[in-house]
Amino acid sequence: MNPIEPAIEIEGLKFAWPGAAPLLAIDSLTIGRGERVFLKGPSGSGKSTLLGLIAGIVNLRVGSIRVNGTTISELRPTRRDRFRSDHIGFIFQLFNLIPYLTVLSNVLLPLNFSLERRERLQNENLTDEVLRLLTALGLAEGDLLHRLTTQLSIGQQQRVAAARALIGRPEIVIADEPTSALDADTRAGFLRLLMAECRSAGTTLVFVSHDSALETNFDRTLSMQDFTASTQMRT
Amino acid sequence: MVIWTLALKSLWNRRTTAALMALAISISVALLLSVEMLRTAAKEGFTNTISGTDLIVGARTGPINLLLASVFRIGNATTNISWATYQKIAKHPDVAWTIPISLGDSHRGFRVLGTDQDYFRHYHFAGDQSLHFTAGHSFQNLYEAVLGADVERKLHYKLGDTIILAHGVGPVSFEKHTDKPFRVVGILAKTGTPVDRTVHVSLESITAIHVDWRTGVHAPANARVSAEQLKRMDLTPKDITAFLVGMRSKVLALRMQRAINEYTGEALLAVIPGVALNQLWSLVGIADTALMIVAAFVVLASLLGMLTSILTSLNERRREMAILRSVGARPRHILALMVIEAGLLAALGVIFGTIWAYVLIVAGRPILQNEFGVFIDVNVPSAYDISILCIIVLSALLIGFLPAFRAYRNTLSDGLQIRV
Repeated sequence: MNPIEPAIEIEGLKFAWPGAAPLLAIDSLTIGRGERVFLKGPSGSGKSTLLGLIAGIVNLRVGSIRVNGTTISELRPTRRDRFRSDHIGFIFQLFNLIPYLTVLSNVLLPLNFSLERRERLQNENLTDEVLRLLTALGLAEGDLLHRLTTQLSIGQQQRVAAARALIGRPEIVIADEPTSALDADTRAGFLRLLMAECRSAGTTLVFVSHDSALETNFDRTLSMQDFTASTQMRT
Repeated sequence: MVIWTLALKSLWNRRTTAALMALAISISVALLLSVEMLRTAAKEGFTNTISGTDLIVGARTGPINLLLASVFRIGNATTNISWATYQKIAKHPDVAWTIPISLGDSHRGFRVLGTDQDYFRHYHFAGDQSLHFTAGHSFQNLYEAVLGADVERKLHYKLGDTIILAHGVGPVSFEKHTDKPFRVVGILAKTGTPVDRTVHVSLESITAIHVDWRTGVHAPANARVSAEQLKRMDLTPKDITAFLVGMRSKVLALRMQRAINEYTGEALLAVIPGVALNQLWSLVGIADTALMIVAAFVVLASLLGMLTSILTSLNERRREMAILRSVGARPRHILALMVIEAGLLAALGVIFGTIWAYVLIVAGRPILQNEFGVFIDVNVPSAYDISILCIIVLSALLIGFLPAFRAYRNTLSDGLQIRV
């Protein structure tokens, strides 16, 4: 039903941490390019593990994961690291930023590790791009760039983190509960701007949260219940 | 390279702890370096005690005993050698000069050495330096004394002062040559050798003050010979403790040594100063090797301190590592981050430690020279010093791998989860 190219394809995935009960079981899951997906589930349901698998940080033994057409579960760890930094941006719940770097350095950090993301911005002034992203995300104050991130409010920090995830236009942004530390007003504003920026850049967004109030903003909702091994065994 | 920038900025962010770590390392490095410099200086000073002398001859005893007694004025020669034997060797055609030495008396803890004018002419130390007078001149008559630099400085004597010699060499002596006081006629320049701690008098004076002594006890007052009477007596000594020999040519020394050691008229021992000094140093050197080992352990302790400190910081920095991983840092970057940090701290420690050591040596130089007679040359670090410093930095880099692997493992197990 979805004719657009897939960004993430998961097939026959089964996962258990060593010595623990089976955690994840996904027969088939496809997330299309440019799609904005809400992944909901209570804590402990394996959300972070699933993100780790998609990011290629957790080793997969059974099944396959393709990201942008590359089967990352078959790549060697160093190749996977490079692949991740080239194609995926991350936003976490809290403490996203390196405390001893300025806002500007924090946002530019991924470009130091990814040649591909840097090359995508070849013809642009990097500082201008950072300013553009921060403005798009609602941080318009220009003097912010050279401040240390410890001087920012949490809401501002999350915007800087979002700018960092988006710099160099990675195809996929994974956001792991990025709004749970924000108050309701800030949360709505942050989400709106993040969605808008993803849309204009054609970025695939996987947004994880336990807060189902947010799911109406997204193209599609995935529930961890459908992916956990124990649930599937029961049905 | 971004990792360098990150390592520097991260370290700067923790500058207080980092500075303390580097300070601890620098102190230990300063200790190690100054011990090393002192050690070299002490050995040099030691081997410089006597030079130009080809043989030391005394009654048969151990080579080290003979060296200690004749050159370092430590301990006692048990037996003397006869004046006749001394004359016989001194007149040998291969012998260029001799310095007779007669020991056994002291003055307020300083040894008294009986000798003749050849002492001031031929005694050399530290290569080719000879003795110089800062004041006065050599002894010309009976009851005249020439003081070493330390004796003059410690006891505040000046030319013309009268001093009383004591019989025996203990620091406190009850038997004194009170009836034959000596006058200070000369003061020698500082040499950094035992000469500085010696009171020099003529051989005749030594004979004179002992004329009426029998087996270590002074004759009763009425049976004594007066100082004036003595001036008219023949005061050629019957025996001396030892003598130094300078040969016409170095190569003759070995032959002469064998001849003296095989001399049948009297049980004699001839030693080559350099050989005996080396033997002695191999004994004394144990202490300074021990000092060096202690200093090395202090460096090791400071490096372990750094390791502990880095390992402790690792927990607070777990978040930093996870963030770096999420933006694309590979495990080897994390590894490099930790190793660079350890290396930087050690390098800072080594640089500042070297500076401290030089400050210490320059500041302590006058004290060492005046109090202990150790002369330290302030040179650029020797190749050996530099290799020690490099080893310290390399060990730090190696040590850095420990927290690096720990961080590496953390980042693997943490994945992208940020733990606080």
